[in-house]
Amino acid sequence: MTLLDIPPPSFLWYMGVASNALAAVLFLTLGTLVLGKLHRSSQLTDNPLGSTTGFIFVIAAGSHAVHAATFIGPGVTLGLLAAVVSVDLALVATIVVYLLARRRHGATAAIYEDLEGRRRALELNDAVVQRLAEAKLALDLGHVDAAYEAVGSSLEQSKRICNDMIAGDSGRLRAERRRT
Amino acid sequence: MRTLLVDDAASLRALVRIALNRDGDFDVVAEAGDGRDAIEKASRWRPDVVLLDLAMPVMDGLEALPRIREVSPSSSIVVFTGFGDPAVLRRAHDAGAAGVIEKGLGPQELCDAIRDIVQGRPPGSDPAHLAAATSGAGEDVAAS
Repeated sequence: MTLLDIPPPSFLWYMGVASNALAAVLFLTLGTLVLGKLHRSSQLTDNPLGSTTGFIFVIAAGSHAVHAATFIGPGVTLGLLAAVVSVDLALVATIVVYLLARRRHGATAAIYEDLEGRRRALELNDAVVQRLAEAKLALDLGHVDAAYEAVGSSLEQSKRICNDMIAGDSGRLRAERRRT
Repeated sequence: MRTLLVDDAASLRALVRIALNRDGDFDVVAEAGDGRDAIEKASRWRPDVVLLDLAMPVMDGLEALPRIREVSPSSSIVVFTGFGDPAVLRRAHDAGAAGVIEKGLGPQELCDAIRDIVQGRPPGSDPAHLAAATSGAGEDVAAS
């Protein structure tokens, strides 16, 4: 029995429509979540692993939507077949791009780890490195007030970063014992 | 040397300006707080030296660097950054930076480092803080 032989309304027909429609909705949700987070953190163009993952989900949603349409539509027309083939080819192409990007970034690269690590590095650069470099230069130039201000700013921003990283988790806070 | 300072931290720019003006070899002609502003100022002032931070809003230093070279080809662009990661420094070198200086130097060391890079001399006495892109082989920056 082929797809063309499954008449509505039959259990298989309903399952075909429902499963493809549900898959389309879920893939679209996943893709929107991934791409949305990337967009909000301005990583859409800078994080190829993340963005191709998001697009894979979105195109997979389109693929399943078209498959659902093959059940619902008047029949398997040439246009519908062309749509199925085009969407699936787009999916294949996006997966190839993802695999190439993954190869370039290393097999252990994860989508959000890249985002989180980069964001933290930029925050720490601003809060700690930049401010301490400023404080040091100010002291070298004899500008003690400016140095105090830079150190104070660094302290406040560092505390905020630490609080954000703990984020309400009041678990164990025992620091690593340092060798003296 | 007519100098354009590019850094999003106005307070740091103020201190660097003081350090450079005290040296006597440098004349800070303009300042910019982001990459886009830096391109516009470089085009207007055609400085001899551009001291360029990397992590900035609107447009970061790595994106601005090649465009600054386009609008002011005679400028020596010296990257001034807190990031010591070799991959970042390599990108800066590939984008056309004359050299890279890590933040944290004292005023005299900073001026000497800029001078060394602009005049194509070997790096100064403390290789832990300097990287010069002039050799073509791309010296590595030792961890500070």
